[in-house]
Amino acid sequence: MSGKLWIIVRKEYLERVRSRSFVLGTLLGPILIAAMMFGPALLAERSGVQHMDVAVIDLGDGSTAAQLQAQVAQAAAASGGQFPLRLSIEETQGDLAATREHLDALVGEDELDGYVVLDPDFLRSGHATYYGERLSGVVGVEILEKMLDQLVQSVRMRDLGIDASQLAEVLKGADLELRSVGAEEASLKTRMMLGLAMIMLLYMMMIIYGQYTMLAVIEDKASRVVEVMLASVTTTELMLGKIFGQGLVGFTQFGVWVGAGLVFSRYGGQLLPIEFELGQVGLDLWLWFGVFFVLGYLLYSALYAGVGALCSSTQDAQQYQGPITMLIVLPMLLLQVAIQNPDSGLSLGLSLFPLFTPLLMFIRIVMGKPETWQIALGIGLLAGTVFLLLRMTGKLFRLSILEFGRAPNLKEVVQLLRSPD
Amino acid sequence: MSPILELRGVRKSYGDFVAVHDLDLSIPQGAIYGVLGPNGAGKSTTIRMIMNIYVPDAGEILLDGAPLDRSATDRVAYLPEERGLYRKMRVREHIVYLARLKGLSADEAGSRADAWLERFDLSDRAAAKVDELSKGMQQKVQFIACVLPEPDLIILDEPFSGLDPINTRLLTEIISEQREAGRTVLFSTHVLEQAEKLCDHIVLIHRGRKLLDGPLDEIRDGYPVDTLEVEAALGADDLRAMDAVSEVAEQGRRYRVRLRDDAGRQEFLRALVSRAEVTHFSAVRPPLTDIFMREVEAAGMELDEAELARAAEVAA
Repeated sequence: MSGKLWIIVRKEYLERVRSRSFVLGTLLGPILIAAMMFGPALLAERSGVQHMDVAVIDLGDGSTAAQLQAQVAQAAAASGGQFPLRLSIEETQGDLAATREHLDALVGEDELDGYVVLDPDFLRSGHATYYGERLSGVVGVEILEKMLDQLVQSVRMRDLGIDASQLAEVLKGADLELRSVGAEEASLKTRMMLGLAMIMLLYMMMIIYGQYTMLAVIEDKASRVVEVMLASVTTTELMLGKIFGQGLVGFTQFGVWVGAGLVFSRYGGQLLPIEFELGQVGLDLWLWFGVFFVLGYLLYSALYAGVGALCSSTQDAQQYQGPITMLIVLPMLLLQVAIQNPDSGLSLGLSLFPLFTPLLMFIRIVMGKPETWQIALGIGLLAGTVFLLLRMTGKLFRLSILEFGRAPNLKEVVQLLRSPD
Repeated sequence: MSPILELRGVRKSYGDFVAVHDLDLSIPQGAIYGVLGPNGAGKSTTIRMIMNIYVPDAGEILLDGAPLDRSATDRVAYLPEERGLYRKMRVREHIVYLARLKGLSADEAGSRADAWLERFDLSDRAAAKVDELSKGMQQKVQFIACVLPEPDLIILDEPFSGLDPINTRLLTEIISEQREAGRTVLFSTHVLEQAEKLCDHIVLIHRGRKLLDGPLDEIRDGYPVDTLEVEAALGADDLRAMDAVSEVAEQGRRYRVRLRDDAGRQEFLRALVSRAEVTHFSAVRPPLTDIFMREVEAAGMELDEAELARAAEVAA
């Protein structure tokens, strides 16, 4: 690599990293990530404070209502004021109809959310009726039902002579933990969730930064600075400078985002929709992610740069970039195939196609256990394709600048591609 | 002096149109070499082939006797006809960037950039974005980027177009300095008067063919002293009405007059004095513009109407 190439890379990198759009985009990322990670928990906490006021009419001797109230009071004390249910006992004085009329009025005035009538033989039959205007605040009703359950169950256990702690022991469910063979610490579920998050990053990097590279190439042609540049550097140096420069910009931005996500997760933010420890995921996943992140970016930025090399304006490029973008979207659609049957022949075949390898070979590694030769072959083919494409884009750029004055014939194209810049 | 740059039988065509016909050029080391000709003569195409931007259909281009390749880039600087800079880059930063791509260290590039910006009266714009500069200023920035690395060969495509007289003079001055420092400057222009003041050596191109090639003095010495410079109290039409006169061109307050081949200079002067007060009368060699027109005629390649219109436009 020549010194000139790094001067170009440095310029391309600094120019974009210092730009307002980059700074804004990079900083906005963590804010969004924080919103996603902390938002749901915060929202749940806020809405949880809403209480539900329920009256109880005990048509029996009144002891059940008293027991229920004691239970609720205990739970409320344990939750530190977060318990969503408040109970009050209503005496009927023998006139149920009048009492209900009174309570109906209270519910109508929103003084009360609802009331529950316990049958005289509630502890045996378990039957009670809830009267309410809306059933929207179901959390409170559910809790109420659970408490009634417990009451009824405890009476029945006592009648049958069953000890409560024994029953809890009997009812304790099976706990099926999913672990992958070999990787001691890695839970399969965590691996999959993290793997899918990584796929999203791969996809974004390829499509977003690939297109930035294309625009950077077009800028040189549109601003006509290209003739000046070519008086000092080769087209290959210029193209590689753009590809590497934009790539480093992308790594910086994604690095900040991932870093922010990891930092937030240390402070209670939820990075993934499941509980997970970073240590749970094997190092190999991060390693393969790194390999496919770099190779995937190079592959598609070289293709996008090629489109840029052939177009003289952004409008032109808009039309030609479609097929390239499709090549990135297509494996996203095929992801399902590889997720369901990571080790099938179809998955293998698709993942060995260099343009699909970054996404599909990676998801196979996440979901299944492809044999080493398959991974090696996939990476080998991908790296070879990247190498060829990087060499070609420079020549392609050259070809598009050289005005042959007529369509170049095949011999000339071949000659140019074989020429040493 | 051995040539620093040589073109041998270089040809370039666009479809059926031949832009440059089998051109042979030899650019002497240390010269200021003008590539002259009307618009569309093939000057820029020739320069782009030298810069390896276009590939010639035939012929070869040699720098110090060796085929021009990428290893030569640090020795050659280029100001393209279509100017272009990175619009978002800052002026000084841009100059340093281009200088570093010519192999200079960051420090050296920086200190030279400061000196050049000072000289071009652009010091206060050093931190401005290229975008914020006027076209003329951008052109100066690009010119600075060309001369700053002190390359052996400086190639300037129409360096004066779009510059005001003050900057034109500054550029002329700097180009002359380059020669004194032993560097070679090749530049193209369609303004022949410009070349006349500056060049040691010229090549005159018309429709892709070479009409004249050689040291300017030798070329002019090859023409007789047949042009009169006249300053007198009468109009151009009065002069044209005189029998002896074949052509009249106005040049400021003076007229450049050519006489018919059979007319005597003394008779013409006498006739002139009898009509008006004459304040200046001298005989000189024809200016480059006239030489060009005569060569075009001699070669049987008179300008067609479109070319004449363009020439008139340029002159205006």
